[in-house]
Amino acid sequence: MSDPIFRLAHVSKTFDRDNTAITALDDIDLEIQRGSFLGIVGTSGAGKSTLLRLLNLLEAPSAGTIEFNGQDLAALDAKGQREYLSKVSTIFQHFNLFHGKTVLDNVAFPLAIRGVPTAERYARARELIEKVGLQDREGHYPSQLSGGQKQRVGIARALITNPQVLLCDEATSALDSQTTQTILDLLVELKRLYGFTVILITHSWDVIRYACTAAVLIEHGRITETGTLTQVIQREHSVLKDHLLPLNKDAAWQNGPDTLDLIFEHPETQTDLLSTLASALSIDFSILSGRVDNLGKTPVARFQVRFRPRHPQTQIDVVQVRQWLTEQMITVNL
Amino acid sequence: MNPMTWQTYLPDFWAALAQTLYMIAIAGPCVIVLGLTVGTTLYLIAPQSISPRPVLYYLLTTAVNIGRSIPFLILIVLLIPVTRAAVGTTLGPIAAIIPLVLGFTPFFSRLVESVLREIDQGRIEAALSMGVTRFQLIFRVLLPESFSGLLNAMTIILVGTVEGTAVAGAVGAGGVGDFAIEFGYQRFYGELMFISVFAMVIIVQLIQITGDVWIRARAHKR
Ligand SMILES: Nc1ncnc2c1ncn2[C@@H]1O[C@H](COP(=O)(O)OP(=O)(O)OP(=O)(O)O)[C@@H](O)[C@H]1O
Ligand SMILES: [Mg+2]
Repeated sequence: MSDPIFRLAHVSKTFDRDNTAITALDDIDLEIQRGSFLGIVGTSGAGKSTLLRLLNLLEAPSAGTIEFNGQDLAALDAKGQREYLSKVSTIFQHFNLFHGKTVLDNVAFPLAIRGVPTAERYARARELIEKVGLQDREGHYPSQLSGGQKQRVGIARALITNPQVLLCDEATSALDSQTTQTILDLLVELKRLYGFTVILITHSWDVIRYACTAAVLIEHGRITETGTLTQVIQREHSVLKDHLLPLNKDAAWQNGPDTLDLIFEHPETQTDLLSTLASALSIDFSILSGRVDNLGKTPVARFQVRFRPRHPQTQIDVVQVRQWLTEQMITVNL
Repeated sequence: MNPMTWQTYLPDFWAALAQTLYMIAIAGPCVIVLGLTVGTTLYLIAPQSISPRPVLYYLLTTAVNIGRSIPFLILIVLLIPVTRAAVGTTLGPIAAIIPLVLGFTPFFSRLVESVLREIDQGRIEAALSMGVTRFQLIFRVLLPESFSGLLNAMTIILVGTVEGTAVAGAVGAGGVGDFAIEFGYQRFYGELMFISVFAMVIIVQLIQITGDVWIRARAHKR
């Protein structure tokens, strides 16, 4: 079921640098589904940040339209933009807290600029500060906090307007892996609690695997692949799939007509899969490489298996093997 | 021998000190308010900045450069007609206010502009991404976030203004500088020269220490 919160059509963004045009985004078409946790990946300079900056109005597109809940962003006046920005919040790689303000005033700031009375905005700020686990820190200044704590403040500040979308530009890149994990857990938990959509730029496949439900791959300003993780891992050829479930399978001996690349969820419930297959079709098998990764909470196995006939004079019917496996809801690639 | 002892002129010294403090008290805040306005404007309208107005920026920045390049003594002389038209006299502390303000605002504007440029762009973008108005950006983000730097700039400019009152004093504005020249130098009262210099040092020290203490008290807000 498709229910896009953002719809981008033919969006381009060019920058002028020393009178040469730099195309940061080139004719982007993208629908972002409500409630998704979307990861944006791509090499440095691909245009990821530019895409996010179009969504939080730090930049305007050079061409194309961006719709939010069916509303064209280009048609918003100043007041409309401010209202929109209360529904779409951003957290940043370097947190970007106001150094001259306490944690409480940082978190309350988006309400302060909207004229919410002091008592009300502080009450709401305290609510969020507690949600991110910093209740004993509300009087501290950012310089007195650790990186992880600063990002918690950033998250509380972003969520105080009760937004529909949370944009994250490498929000965990400046943090160590353990802190990254706790921040991701917090995001996942708050998303479950408040139901907002998350759009997150990252260079870490671990982050995508752990938190995202969908991914977009951007290369040289163009979207080269997009889909939910479930869709992506079922594709025969997919750059996203090969990054999410990397398999060492480049050696010549690993690539023959009798070798299949199998991907299936919940391998823990499929312990007898290959032996069942072997006896059903009277074949033998050997595993050339394999691994199990968690996509969100779902373990996903990827195996490279070579099949051999049990009797030397017979042939392997690869088509039959594939068909049998496909009936078990297993993605099979050559 | 001089029939008078130096103590005889102490009342004149106190009057001169009052004139100096008066000049600083009027000119200082004027320089600060005007400089903050011009400096913030320069920052905002610079090319590549938040509200670029390249032509206006060029005009304003040129005016500031011209203002900074005129030596203060020459500025006072150039401004004699203006001062006379505005306050009706070219003598006394009131006459020094206009040259002091026009002489020190350009430099302070430049200081303010450079302090604002030090603010990390990320915080400004964070504020913009929350939907601040331009007014809120200036008064709730730019100025508060750079307040320590601005305090430092204010300390510098107030000390400069104190020196300025001494120069203005030498051309008829009164004040401690004038007193030092007249009684300490021309009438050879070494004691009065010493007291005058001492008073200037104290004023400068007070400004500097206030600024430093205030900045240090804000250390964790930077
Ligand atoms: N304000 C700007 N002026 C000129 N060029 C820009 C500007 N912002 C981005 N670019 C250019 O646009 C391209 C895309 O930049 P962008 O920041 O979106 O990349 P990114 O995918 O976020 O990279 P990274 O992973 O390094 O953050 C780059 O070539 C960059 O140099
Ligand atoms: Mg980026």
